[in-house]
Amino acid sequence: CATETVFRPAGTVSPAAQDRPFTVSGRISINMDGKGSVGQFDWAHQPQADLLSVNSPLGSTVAQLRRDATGVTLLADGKSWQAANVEDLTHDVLGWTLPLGNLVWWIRGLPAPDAPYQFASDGSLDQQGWTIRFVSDADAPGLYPKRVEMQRDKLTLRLLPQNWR
Amino acid sequence: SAIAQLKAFVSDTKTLSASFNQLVSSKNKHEEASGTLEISRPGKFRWSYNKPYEQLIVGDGKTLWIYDKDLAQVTRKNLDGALGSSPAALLAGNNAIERDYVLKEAGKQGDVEWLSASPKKADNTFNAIRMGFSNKMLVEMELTDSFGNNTRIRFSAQQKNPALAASHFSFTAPKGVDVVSGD
Repeated sequence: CATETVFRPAGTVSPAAQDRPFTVSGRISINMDGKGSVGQFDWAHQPQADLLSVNSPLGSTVAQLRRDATGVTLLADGKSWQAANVEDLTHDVLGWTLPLGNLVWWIRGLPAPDAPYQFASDGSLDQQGWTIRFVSDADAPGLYPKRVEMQRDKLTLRLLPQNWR
Repeated sequence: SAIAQLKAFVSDTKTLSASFNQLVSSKNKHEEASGTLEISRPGKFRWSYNKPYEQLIVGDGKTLWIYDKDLAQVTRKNLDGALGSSPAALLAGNNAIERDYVLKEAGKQGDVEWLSASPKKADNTFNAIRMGFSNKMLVEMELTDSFGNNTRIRFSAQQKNPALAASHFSFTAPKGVDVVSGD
């Protein structure tokens, strides 16, 4: 397959980096200590609100996360759960933590601006206990990474953001 | 009637191969995918997406395997929770459809006779399934879920009882790929 290299963001991230709305769909895989799944995702992000759906290969929504000013709701298996933030909700209900706040930046190949971070020599990013690898196609580098691999303790998340709007 | 055609379809096809085109639409989504399907009753199938990405879903009679090439991960699940991943799990059963679903005639459009299948047991995957038949062959399926997603699958190049070796439905994860349990 295409040779892959480390994705390097074009600009540097200034602390006043702008959090602006985006919509992206692609695929995600979750591996929490040997348990997990693969799914397709649709994510509409705004600074104060998120709508993230994870869907089966057939297009049915398996889980949906809604964040707004009042808090966060997770719909799955015909049930619904609420919590103050996505990180606690996913940890309590799904058994693994989805760092959605950081993902807003990581999915675009950038470190989150409001937390200390460090780039390792191999180009991977260390931030808030996560090691994040940004991968792009050597011969078709894009504005954003082709694949984002995030790892912390026994949890590995891989994202393939494919369609940006 | 569509139900009579379903019964004939199940009894006439010990094995089946076909191509499919899948269209998923919802409020702001319109996604097409296509691939091939092979079935060997009971419980064995290969549902392979070739476009826009490669994803292989295999039922080996006991276990369901979902292999995503780009994500380099295989998810294994037991076969009965499998419908959410592929209608082939439904199609590959001997009487799974009649056993697990209440079937009703749903009219005729052109030369396609439709039936609706609603799950007897509350199933959080799809709340409405429709199957279209024409001369005792499945030609189309439509599945909707409670989030407003509508999935239409059109089958083509259907072949009844092709020779398919049993080993064709066994799955071993490629080297270097993570195998994860989905149960």
